[in-house]
Amino acid sequence: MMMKLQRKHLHLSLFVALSLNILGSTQFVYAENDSTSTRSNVAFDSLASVQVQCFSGENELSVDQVITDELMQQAASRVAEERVAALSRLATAVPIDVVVRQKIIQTALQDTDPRVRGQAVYALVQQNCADSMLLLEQALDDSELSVRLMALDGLMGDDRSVALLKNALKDDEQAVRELAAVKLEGLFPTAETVK
Amino acid sequence: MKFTSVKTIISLVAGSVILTHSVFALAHNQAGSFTTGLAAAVDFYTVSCTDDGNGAPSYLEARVKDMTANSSKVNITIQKGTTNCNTNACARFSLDSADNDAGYSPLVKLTQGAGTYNLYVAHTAAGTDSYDVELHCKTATNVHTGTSTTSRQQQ
Repeated sequence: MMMKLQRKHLHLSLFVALSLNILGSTQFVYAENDSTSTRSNVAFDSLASVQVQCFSGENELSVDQVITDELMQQAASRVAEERVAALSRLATAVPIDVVVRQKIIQTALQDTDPRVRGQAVYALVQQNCADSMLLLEQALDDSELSVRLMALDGLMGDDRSVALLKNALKDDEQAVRELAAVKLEGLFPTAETVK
Repeated sequence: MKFTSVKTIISLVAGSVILTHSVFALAHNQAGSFTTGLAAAVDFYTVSCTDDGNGAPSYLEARVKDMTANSSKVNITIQKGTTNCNTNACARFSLDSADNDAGYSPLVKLTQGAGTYNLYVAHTAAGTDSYDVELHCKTATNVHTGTSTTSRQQQ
Protein backbone atom coordinates (compact mmCIF):
# COMPACT_ATOMS: atom_id res chain seq x y z
CA MET A 1 0.00 0.00 0.00
CA MET A 2 2.82 2.38 0.99
CA MET A 3 4.75 1.45 -2.16
CA LYS A 4 1.66 2.18 -4.27
CA LEU A 5 1.27 5.60 -2.66
CA GLN A 6 4.96 6.36 -3.10
CA ARG A 7 4.80 5.43 -6.76
CA LYS A 8 1.70 7.56 -7.27
CA HIS A 9 3.41 10.45 -5.55
CA LEU A 10 6.48 9.99 -7.74
CA HIS A 11 4.40 9.89 -10.91
CA LEU A 12 2.53 13.01 -9.86
CA SER A 13 5.79 14.81 -9.08
CA LEU A 14 7.25 13.84 -12.44
CA PHE A 15 4.10 14.98 -14.22
CA VAL A 16 4.16 18.34 -12.46
CA ALA A 17 7.89 18.78 -13.13
CA LEU A 18 7.46 17.92 -16.80
CA SER A 19 4.48 20.27 -17.16
CA LEU A 20 6.37 23.12 -15.54
CA ASN A 21 9.33 22.47 -17.79
CA ILE A 22 7.18 22.55 -20.92
CA LEU A 23 5.37 25.62 -19.64
CA GLY A 24 8.67 27.35 -18.94
CA SER A 25 10.04 26.60 -22.42
CA THR A 26 6.83 27.70 -24.09
CA GLN A 27 6.75 30.94 -22.14
CA PHE A 28 10.23 31.90 -23.26
CA VAL A 29 9.76 30.92 -26.91
CA TYR A 30 6.80 33.29 -27.25
CA ALA A 31 7.85 36.63 -28.64
CA GLU A 32 6.12 39.79 -27.55
CA ASN A 33 4.08 41.40 -30.27
CA ASP A 34 4.16 44.83 -28.74
CA SER A 35 5.19 47.49 -31.23
CA THR A 36 6.64 49.63 -28.44
CA SER A 37 9.01 46.87 -27.34
CA THR A 38 11.79 45.57 -29.52
CA ARG A 39 12.81 42.96 -26.98
CA SER A 40 11.46 39.42 -26.97
CA ASN A 41 11.75 36.63 -24.46
CA VAL A 42 13.57 34.50 -27.01
CA ALA A 43 16.80 35.88 -25.50
CA PHE A 44 16.38 33.57 -22.55
CA ASP A 45 16.59 30.59 -24.93
CA SER A 46 19.69 32.13 -26.52
CA LEU A 47 21.58 32.02 -23.23
CA ALA A 48 20.42 28.48 -22.63
CA SER A 49 21.82 27.35 -25.97
CA VAL A 50 25.32 28.67 -25.24
CA GLN A 51 27.76 25.87 -24.45
CA VAL A 52 30.31 26.95 -21.89
CA GLN A 53 33.84 25.69 -22.28
CA CYS A 54 36.40 26.91 -19.80
CA PHE A 55 40.09 26.18 -19.47
CA SER A 56 42.58 26.13 -16.66
CA GLY A 57 44.50 29.37 -16.25
CA GLU A 58 48.22 29.78 -15.75
CA ASN A 59 47.96 30.49 -12.05
CA GLU A 60 45.32 27.90 -11.27
CA LEU A 61 44.92 27.16 -7.54
CA SER A 62 45.10 23.61 -6.20
CA VAL A 63 41.66 22.08 -5.87
CA ASP A 64 40.15 22.26 -2.40
CA GLN A 65 37.46 19.61 -2.13
CA VAL A 66 35.77 21.20 0.89
CA ILE A 67 35.32 24.50 -0.91
CA THR A 68 34.25 22.65 -4.05
CA ASP A 69 31.53 20.75 -2.22
CA GLU A 70 30.40 23.90 -0.42
CA LEU A 71 30.19 25.87 -3.66
CA MET A 72 28.34 23.12 -5.49
CA GLN A 73 25.83 22.92 -2.68
CA GLN A 74 25.38 26.67 -2.64
CA ALA A 75 24.99 26.79 -6.43
CA ALA A 76 22.24 24.17 -6.21
CA SER A 77 20.37 25.92 -3.40
CA ARG A 78 16.63 26.55 -3.70
CA VAL A 79 17.26 30.09 -2.49
CA ALA A 80 18.15 32.39 -5.39
CA GLU A 81 20.31 34.62 -3.18
CA GLU A 82 22.46 31.59 -2.32
CA ARG A 83 22.88 30.72 -5.99
CA VAL A 84 23.86 34.32 -6.72
CA ALA A 85 26.38 34.19 -3.87
CA ALA A 86 27.92 31.02 -5.31
CA LEU A 87 28.27 32.62 -8.72
CA SER A 88 29.77 35.77 -7.23
CA ARG A 89 32.47 33.67 -5.60
CA LEU A 90 33.25 32.21 -9.01
CA ALA A 91 34.00 35.72 -10.22
CA THR A 92 37.31 35.44 -8.34
CA ALA A 93 39.99 32.80 -8.16
CA VAL A 94 38.57 29.89 -6.20
CA PRO A 95 40.33 26.56 -5.67
CA ILE A 96 37.86 24.39 -7.54
CA ASP A 97 38.27 22.30 -10.65
CA VAL A 98 37.65 24.08 -13.96
CA VAL A 99 35.16 21.40 -15.04
CA VAL A 100 33.08 22.02 -11.90
CA ARG A 101 33.24 25.75 -12.48
CA GLN A 102 32.09 25.28 -16.03
CA LYS A 103 29.18 23.10 -14.96
CA ILE A 104 28.00 25.57 -12.33
CA ILE A 105 28.10 28.47 -14.78
CA GLN A 106 26.40 26.48 -17.53
CA THR A 107 23.53 25.59 -15.22
CA ALA A 108 23.26 29.12 -13.89
CA LEU A 109 22.98 30.61 -17.39
CA GLN A 110 19.69 28.75 -17.69
CA ASP A 111 18.40 29.80 -14.29
CA THR A 112 14.92 31.26 -14.19
CA ASP A 113 16.04 33.99 -11.79
CA PRO A 114 17.58 36.87 -13.80
CA ARG A 115 19.87 37.79 -10.90
CA VAL A 116 21.45 34.34 -11.12
CA ARG A 117 21.73 34.50 -14.92
CA GLY A 118 23.26 37.95 -14.71
CA GLN A 119 25.78 36.88 -12.10
CA ALA A 120 26.64 33.83 -14.24
CA VAL A 121 27.34 36.12 -17.19
CA TYR A 122 29.71 38.19 -15.07
CA ALA A 123 31.38 35.12 -13.55
CA LEU A 124 31.93 33.57 -16.98
CA VAL A 125 33.66 36.69 -18.28
CA GLN A 126 36.10 36.49 -15.37
CA GLN A 127 37.03 32.90 -16.32
CA ASN A 128 39.23 31.69 -19.12
CA CYS A 129 36.32 30.46 -21.26
CA ALA A 130 35.85 30.16 -25.00
CA ASP A 131 33.19 32.20 -26.81
CA SER A 132 32.62 34.59 -23.91
CA MET A 133 32.07 37.38 -26.45
CA LEU A 134 29.29 35.34 -28.07
CA LEU A 135 27.68 34.91 -24.68
CA LEU A 136 27.91 38.63 -23.95
CA GLU A 137 26.36 39.43 -27.29
CA GLN A 138 23.41 37.18 -26.56
CA ALA A 139 23.10 38.35 -22.96
CA LEU A 140 22.80 41.92 -24.26
CA ASP A 141 19.55 40.86 -25.85
CA ASP A 142 18.11 39.40 -22.65
CA SER A 143 14.70 40.67 -21.59
CA GLU A 144 15.98 41.44 -18.09
CA LEU A 145 17.76 44.71 -17.30
CA SER A 146 20.06 43.07 -14.73
CA VAL A 147 21.40 40.57 -17.28
CA ARG A 148 22.03 43.24 -19.92
CA LEU A 149 23.86 45.43 -17.39
CA MET A 150 26.08 42.52 -16.37
CA ALA A 151 26.86 41.82 -20.01
CA LEU A 152 27.80 45.47 -20.57
CA ASP A 153 29.97 45.35 -17.49
CA GLY A 154 31.92 42.50 -19.07
CA LEU A 155 32.73 44.32 -22.32
CA MET A 156 36.27 45.57 -22.83
CA GLY A 157 37.95 47.77 -25.41
CA ASP A 158 38.22 45.45 -28.42
CA ASP A 159 36.46 46.28 -31.70
CA ARG A 160 33.60 43.88 -31.16
CA SER A 161 32.96 45.20 -27.65
CA VAL A 162 32.95 48.76 -28.94
CA ALA A 163 30.39 47.81 -31.59
CA LEU A 164 28.20 46.20 -28.94
CA LEU A 165 28.55 49.23 -26.67
CA LYS A 166 27.48 51.54 -29.50
CA ASN A 167 24.50 49.33 -30.16
CA ALA A 168 23.58 49.45 -26.49
CA LEU A 169 23.20 53.22 -26.78
CA LYS A 170 19.85 52.45 -28.41
CA ASP A 171 18.57 50.27 -25.55
CA ASP A 172 15.11 50.88 -24.09
CA GLU A 173 16.47 51.27 -20.59
CA GLN A 174 18.18 54.46 -19.46
CA ALA A 175 20.61 52.55 -17.20
CA VAL A 176 21.89 50.49 -20.15
CA ARG A 177 22.28 53.56 -22.37
CA GLU A 178 24.10 55.44 -19.61
CA LEU A 179 26.47 52.58 -18.81
CA ALA A 180 27.28 52.10 -22.49
CA ALA A 181 27.96 55.83 -22.84
CA VAL A 182 30.19 55.89 -19.77
CA LYS A 183 32.20 52.89 -20.99
CA LEU A 184 32.61 54.39 -24.46
CA GLU A 185 33.68 57.67 -22.96
CA GLY A 186 36.29 55.80 -20.95
CA LEU A 187 37.59 54.18 -24.13
CA PHE A 188 37.39 57.27 -26.35
CA PRO A 189 37.43 60.40 -24.22
CA THR A 190 36.10 62.80 -26.90
CA ALA A 191 32.65 64.20 -27.73
CA GLU A 192 32.47 62.05 -30.89
CA THR A 193 31.90 58.78 -29.02
CA VAL A 194 28.25 59.27 -28.15
CA LYS A 195 26.39 59.34 -31.43
CA MET B 1 11.25 10.40 34.98
CA LYS B 2 8.16 12.48 34.29
CA PHE B 3 9.58 15.39 36.34
CA THR B 4 12.86 15.25 34.37
CA SER B 5 10.98 15.32 31.05
CA VAL B 6 8.94 18.38 32.10
CA LYS B 7 12.09 20.08 33.38
CA THR B 8 13.83 19.37 30.08
CA ILE B 9 10.91 20.72 28.10
CA ILE B 10 10.77 23.92 30.16
CA SER B 11 14.54 24.38 29.73
CA LEU B 12 14.28 23.88 26.00
CA VAL B 13 11.40 26.31 25.63
CA ALA B 14 13.07 28.92 27.83
CA GLY B 15 16.33 28.46 25.94
CA SER B 16 14.58 28.90 22.60
CA VAL B 17 12.87 32.09 23.76
CA ILE B 18 16.15 33.54 25.01
CA LEU B 19 17.99 32.50 21.85
CA THR B 20 15.27 33.94 19.62
CA HIS B 21 15.26 37.20 21.54
CA SER B 22 19.04 37.36 21.28
CA VAL B 23 18.90 36.77 17.55
CA PHE B 24 16.38 39.56 17.08
CA ALA B 25 18.29 41.82 19.42
CA LEU B 26 21.58 41.28 17.60
CA ALA B 27 20.48 41.21 13.99
CA HIS B 28 18.75 44.20 12.45
CA ASN B 29 19.05 44.12 8.70
CA GLN B 30 17.70 46.12 5.81
CA ALA B 31 17.88 44.39 2.44
CA GLY B 32 17.34 46.07 -0.89
CA SER B 33 18.46 46.43 -4.48
CA PHE B 34 18.85 49.11 -7.13
CA THR B 35 16.00 48.12 -9.40
CA THR B 36 16.51 51.00 -11.84
CA GLY B 37 20.14 50.01 -12.34
CA LEU B 38 21.05 53.66 -12.70
CA ALA B 39 24.51 54.72 -11.56
CA ALA B 40 23.02 57.68 -9.71
CA ALA B 41 20.44 55.57 -7.87
CA VAL B 42 20.08 56.24 -4.16
CA ASP B 43 17.98 54.24 -1.73
CA PHE B 44 17.03 56.29 1.30
CA TYR B 45 15.87 55.04 4.69
CA THR B 46 15.26 56.64 8.06
CA VAL B 47 16.40 54.76 11.14
CA SER B 48 14.71 55.49 14.41
CA CYS B 49 16.74 54.94 17.60
CA THR B 50 14.56 54.68 20.69
CA ASP B 51 14.68 53.28 24.21
CA ASP B 52 13.03 49.87 24.04
CA GLY B 53 13.67 49.23 27.72
CA ASN B 54 17.35 48.47 27.27
CA GLY B 55 18.37 52.09 27.73
CA ALA B 56 18.56 55.42 25.96
CA PRO B 57 20.24 55.19 22.54
CA SER B 58 23.61 56.85 22.25
CA TYR B 59 24.72 55.89 18.75
CA LEU B 60 23.89 54.13 15.51
CA GLU B 61 26.35 51.71 13.95
CA ALA B 62 26.00 50.31 10.46
CA ARG B 63 27.72 48.39 7.70
CA VAL B 64 26.70 47.09 4.28
CA LYS B 65 27.22 43.92 2.30
CA ASP B 66 27.22 44.21 -1.49
CA MET B 67 25.61 40.99 -2.65
CA THR B 68 26.25 41.34 -6.38
CA ALA B 69 29.70 40.83 -7.86
CA ASN B 70 30.31 43.36 -10.62
CA SER B 71 32.23 46.59 -11.20
CA SER B 72 29.77 48.54 -9.07
CA LYS B 73 30.38 48.65 -5.30
CA VAL B 74 27.70 49.46 -2.76
CA ASN B 75 28.24 52.02 -0.03
CA ILE B 76 26.29 53.67 2.76
CA THR B 77 26.21 57.08 4.36
CA ILE B 78 24.56 57.58 7.74
CA GLN B 79 23.71 61.11 8.80
CA LYS B 80 22.15 62.95 11.74
CA GLY B 81 22.56 66.46 13.06
CA THR B 82 23.81 69.74 11.62
CA THR B 83 25.74 71.36 14.48
CA ASN B 84 29.30 70.88 15.79
CA CYS B 85 29.85 68.28 13.11
CA ASN B 86 33.60 68.81 13.10
CA THR B 87 33.86 67.79 16.74
CA ASN B 88 31.13 65.14 16.75
CA ALA B 89 30.63 63.72 13.26
CA CYS B 90 27.22 64.17 11.68
CA ALA B 91 27.90 61.81 8.78
CA ARG B 92 29.85 58.62 8.15
CA PHE B 93 30.55 56.62 4.99
CA SER B 94 31.34 52.95 4.45
CA LEU B 95 32.06 51.04 1.23
CA ASP B 96 32.05 47.29 0.59
CA SER B 97 34.95 47.04 -1.83
CA ALA B 98 34.86 43.21 -2.00
CA ASP B 99 31.47 42.30 -3.38
CA ASN B 100 32.28 38.69 -4.18
CA ASP B 101 32.47 37.53 -0.58
CA ALA B 102 30.17 37.19 2.39
CA GLY B 103 31.88 40.00 4.30
CA TYR B 104 30.53 43.43 5.16
CA SER B 105 32.05 46.86 4.75
CA PRO B 106 33.84 48.47 7.71
CA LEU B 107 31.52 49.21 10.62
CA VAL B 108 30.80 52.91 11.08
CA LYS B 109 29.32 54.64 14.07
CA LEU B 110 27.51 57.92 14.53
CA THR B 111 26.99 59.19 18.07
CA GLN B 112 24.02 61.50 17.83
CA GLY B 113 21.76 60.02 20.50
CA ALA B 114 18.12 59.13 20.20
CA GLY B 115 16.01 60.14 17.25
CA THR B 116 16.00 59.71 13.50
CA TYR B 117 19.11 58.97 11.48
CA ASN B 118 19.23 59.13 7.70
CA LEU B 119 20.67 56.14 5.85
CA TYR B 120 21.64 56.55 2.19
CA VAL B 121 22.62 53.52 0.12
CA ALA B 122 24.36 54.15 -3.19
CA HIS B 123 26.70 52.41 -5.61
CA THR B 124 29.70 53.39 -7.65
CA ALA B 125 28.45 52.41 -11.13
CA ALA B 126 25.38 51.20 -12.99
CA GLY B 127 24.05 47.82 -11.95
CA THR B 128 21.12 46.18 -10.22
CA ASP B 129 23.17 45.48 -7.11
CA SER B 130 21.49 43.81 -4.17
CA TYR B 131 22.64 44.73 -0.70
CA ASP B 132 22.10 44.04 2.95
CA VAL B 133 22.62 46.78 5.54
CA GLU B 134 23.17 45.68 9.11
CA LEU B 135 22.43 48.37 11.68
CA HIS B 136 22.02 48.72 15.43
CA CYS B 137 21.13 51.52 17.79
CA LYS B 138 23.07 51.10 21.01
CA THR B 139 23.35 52.71 24.42
CA ALA B 140 26.48 54.38 25.78
CA THR B 141 27.32 51.01 27.35
CA ASN B 142 27.00 49.28 23.96
CA VAL B 143 23.73 47.55 24.66
CA HIS B 144 21.41 47.08 21.71
CA THR B 145 18.28 49.19 22.00
CA GLY B 146 15.23 50.16 19.91
CA THR B 147 16.03 50.17 16.18
CA SER B 148 13.46 50.54 13.43
CA THR B 149 13.90 51.34 9.74
CA THR B 150 11.53 52.96 7.25
CA SER B 151 12.10 53.05 3.52
CA ARG B 152 11.73 56.55 2.04
CA GLN B 153 13.10 56.21 -1.48
CA GLN B 154 13.82 53.20 -3.68
CA GLN B 155 15.70 53.53 -6.91
